[in-house]
Amino acid sequence: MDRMTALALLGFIIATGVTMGLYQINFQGFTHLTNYSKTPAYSLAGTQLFKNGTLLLHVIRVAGPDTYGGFIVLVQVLYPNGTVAYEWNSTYLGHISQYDIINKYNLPGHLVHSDGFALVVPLGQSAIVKLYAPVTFSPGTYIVRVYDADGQYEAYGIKFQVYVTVNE
Amino acid sequence: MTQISKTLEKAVENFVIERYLPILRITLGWMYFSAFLRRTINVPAKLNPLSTAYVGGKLITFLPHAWQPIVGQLEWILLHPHLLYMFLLLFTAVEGLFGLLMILGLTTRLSGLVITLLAWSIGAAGGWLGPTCVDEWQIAAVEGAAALMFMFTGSRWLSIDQYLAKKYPRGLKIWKFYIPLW
Repeated sequence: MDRMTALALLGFIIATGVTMGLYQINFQGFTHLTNYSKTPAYSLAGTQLFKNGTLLLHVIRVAGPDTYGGFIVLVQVLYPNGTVAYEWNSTYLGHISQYDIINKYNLPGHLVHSDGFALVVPLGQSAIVKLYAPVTFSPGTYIVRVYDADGQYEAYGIKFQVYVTVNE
Repeated sequence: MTQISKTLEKAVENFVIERYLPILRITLGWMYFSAFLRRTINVPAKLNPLSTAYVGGKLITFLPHAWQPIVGQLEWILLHPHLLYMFLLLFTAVEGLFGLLMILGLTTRLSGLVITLLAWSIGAAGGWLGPTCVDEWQIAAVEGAAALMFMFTGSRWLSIDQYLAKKYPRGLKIWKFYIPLW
C-alpha cells in the first residue's frame, strides 16, 4: 500500500469514527435514540426543606430546548404517601424576588427568574430558589416535586422530584 | 509508453476533480467566517457580556450532556467570566481568520486542520443539542469531515494556494522539514 492510500484510509477511518461516535454518544443513535432537546427536564438534587416552612429548591435544568426556558408552574411538598403537604402555584412562582434566587452562573439572559407567569429555568443553569410557606413541617421525610408548564413531572425517565428530610 | 499514458490519465483525473473542490471549500469557509461577522458586525451584542444576547450564555446550554471530560472545563470557564470573555474573543477570531483563509484558499490544508478541530470540539461540547432534529451533531460531523478532507487534499484551483504551490511546490520549509500547508 502506498503512502497516499494509507493516509486516505486513515482520514476515512478517523472522520467516520468521529461521526458515528458523536452520533452514539450524543444521541445513543445505534441503541436507543434519545434527543434531550425535545422536552424540559429538571434535577432537584441538593434541595433542602426546613421545619419553619422554608424550602431551598436547588434546581438544574438538565434537558429541553436551548432557545427558551423551562417553565416551572407548580412546586409541591408531598408526604411519602403522595398527599400534598403544601404547594406553591404559578402565581407565587411567577413573582419571586430576584433576591431569593441565587444563580450559579451569572450570565444575563440565562438566569433563573420569575416572569410573572412561572419560574423560568434556562437550559444548563443551576440555582437555589428560596420559597416560603406559612406553615411548619413536622420532622420526617417528604417529597419535593416540580411540574413543568407542559403538565409533566417526568421526562426521559427522570422524575422532577427529590426526597428530603426535615430535621428536629 | 503505457506508463506515461497512465500517468497522464491520472493527472487529467486529478485536474478534473480539483475543479469541483471550491464548491465545498467556499461554503465551509463561509460557515465559520459568517459566525465572525454575526458577532462583530451584524449583532455585536453577542460579544457584550452585559447583553442578554451574549454568546457566553450558549456555553451554559452545553453543560447537561456535554462529553464528560469537557464538563469540568466548561464549568470552570463559566465561573471565570473574564476568562470566558477572552476565550470567546479568541474563538471568534480563530473562526473568522481560518474561515476567511478557507474561502480564499490560502493555506487550505492548515485551515482544514483548524476547522476540523473547531467542528469536532463543538460536537463534543454541544453536539447533543437538537430542538428540531439532531442539528448540532449534523453540523459538527459534516463540517468536521469536510474540513479533514481539505486537510488532506488542499484545494488549489480558484485559490491563492496555486501561486504559493508554483513557487514552493514542496510546502513551507521549517529547518529541514517541508510542511504542506497548501
